[in-house]
Amino acid sequence: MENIPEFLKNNDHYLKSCILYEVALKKPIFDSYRSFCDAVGHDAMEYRDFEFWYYRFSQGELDLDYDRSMDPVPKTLMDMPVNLMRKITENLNPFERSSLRSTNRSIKDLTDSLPSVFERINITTRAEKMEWDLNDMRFECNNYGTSCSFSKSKVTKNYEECYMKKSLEYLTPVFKMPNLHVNSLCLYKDEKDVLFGQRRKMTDLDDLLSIPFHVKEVDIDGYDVKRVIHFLSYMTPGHLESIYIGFNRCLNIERENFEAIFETDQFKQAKEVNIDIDVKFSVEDLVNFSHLKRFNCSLESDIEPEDILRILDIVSTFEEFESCQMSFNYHMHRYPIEDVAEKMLNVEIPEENPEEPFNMFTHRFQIPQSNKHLHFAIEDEGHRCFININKIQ
Amino acid sequence: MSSTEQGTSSAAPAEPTTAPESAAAPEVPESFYYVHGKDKVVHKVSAGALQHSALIHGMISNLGYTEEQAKANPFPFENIDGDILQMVVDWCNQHKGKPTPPEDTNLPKQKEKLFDLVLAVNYLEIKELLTYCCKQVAMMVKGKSPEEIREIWMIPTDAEDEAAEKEAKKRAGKEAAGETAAAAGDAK
Repeated sequence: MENIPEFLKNNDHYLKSCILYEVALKKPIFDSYRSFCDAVGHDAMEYRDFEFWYYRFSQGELDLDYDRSMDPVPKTLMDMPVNLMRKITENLNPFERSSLRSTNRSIKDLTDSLPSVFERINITTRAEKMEWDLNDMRFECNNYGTSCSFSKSKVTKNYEECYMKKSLEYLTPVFKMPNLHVNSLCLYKDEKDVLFGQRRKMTDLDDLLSIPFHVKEVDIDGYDVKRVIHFLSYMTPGHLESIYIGFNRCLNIERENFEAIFETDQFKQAKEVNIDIDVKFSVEDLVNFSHLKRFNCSLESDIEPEDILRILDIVSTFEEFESCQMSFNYHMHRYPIEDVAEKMLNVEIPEENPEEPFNMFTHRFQIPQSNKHLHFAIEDEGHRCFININKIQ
Repeated sequence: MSSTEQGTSSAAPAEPTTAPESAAAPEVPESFYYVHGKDKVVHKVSAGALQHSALIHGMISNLGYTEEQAKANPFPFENIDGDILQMVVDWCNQHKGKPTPPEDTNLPKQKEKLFDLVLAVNYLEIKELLTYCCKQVAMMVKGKSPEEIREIWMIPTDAEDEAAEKEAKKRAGKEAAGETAAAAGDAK
């Protein structure tokens, strides 16, 4: 029994007959090569020779004694011109590239010179599990105390490791990819149990990012200001166009704490910023948004109609501005939108008709020393007013 | 037959496309050109099919050959194997005047052939076919371990690369020493 591989190996015709048998099975060539090697040994024939005979037989040329001595020297991937290697590599996603990258130093240099682009990376951290999407691939790691179960493409494995440690083992190398570009990155921390304003202690993703990378749009939700700044600091300023920051509705984020985010280069060079209603800004704070094309934020509660007038004055000085939405809570029976209208139009508005409450007002405001206008709209949606401003030509 | 021979006012060869103007105009005979590869087998290809190759299209658009001149002067592509050129010609004929599909599953599966086809297509500047070919090579890399990729594509490991480099240096050194000795001998 043990002699069979040796017996086959020692006879060229027997080996070729084995290949012929593989051709007859019509399996993919590399699978055929694997089963061929398993049967006759890995040193029986190199892949290139196996491939030659496999395709020759596939084409119906069954001459086992064909003389290959006059055949040209086979080419290797290393003979491929660099521009073509680039074009080939561009067809591989960052994971598929990692195998190619590990084959040889020259190939590694070439693959590293190309950006590794992810359309979407979403990472959600919960006390019971961590889940993440890398483009269309979904991963999940469940927390079972000192052990965890890791699932990837419907395959689940158990590990005697902390779920965060296991997850980071997979995720950290992604953020170490050279020349990493992520079009949309979402870091979401979902913590439901809040005791007396204190968040439950949970390991954070502090060690996830270690080298700067390009992100176009980022959504950071549920992390404190310190961690938001930590994450932002790895995202190349200028490349980061859109920033969404939320605090998962349960962090007591003071406006003063937010100041540090205004100071980051990432914020200063962004084009669009959305800040969840957890942070309430004063009208004066709006100057921090002067470089933005679009923004969305919440204002302090019970803002006075005079202050709303000032918003328009401030926004009209923003050169890049295209549109914004602001909202604020009020604690009275209804918000006096007619007062806003009176101040803006400088005319007296007749008494409110109880049948048709005055809950919306729009105004076209000419930007001083410009032929452009701002379209202003304020709408009362019951305990919360929404202000929308758009620049129009 | 070329448009010059037909005495049409247009300098460019007639296009076998389905453009509305050409459909309305009286039918213009298609012009043909001739190409051959390393095996010297001549292929007759229409100008419309050859449009896929930026290289050949650039060449023929300035020539204004008559049918006889074209026949007498086939374009020689000595760097392309006959069977590979045949594949290219077939592809150009199949996709003449048609929008190219998002992918082509008809490409050779054999690595050597695909490799030669990539090089030929790159040389002939056939953009769409090159995209398909590169995609096909990438497909052969997908899902394989580094060792498997090395095995299939005969990629040397870093250690093998270094050894080969050392060997080359050693050989170059010996040759240089030999040349110096020979030069010294000549000087005597």
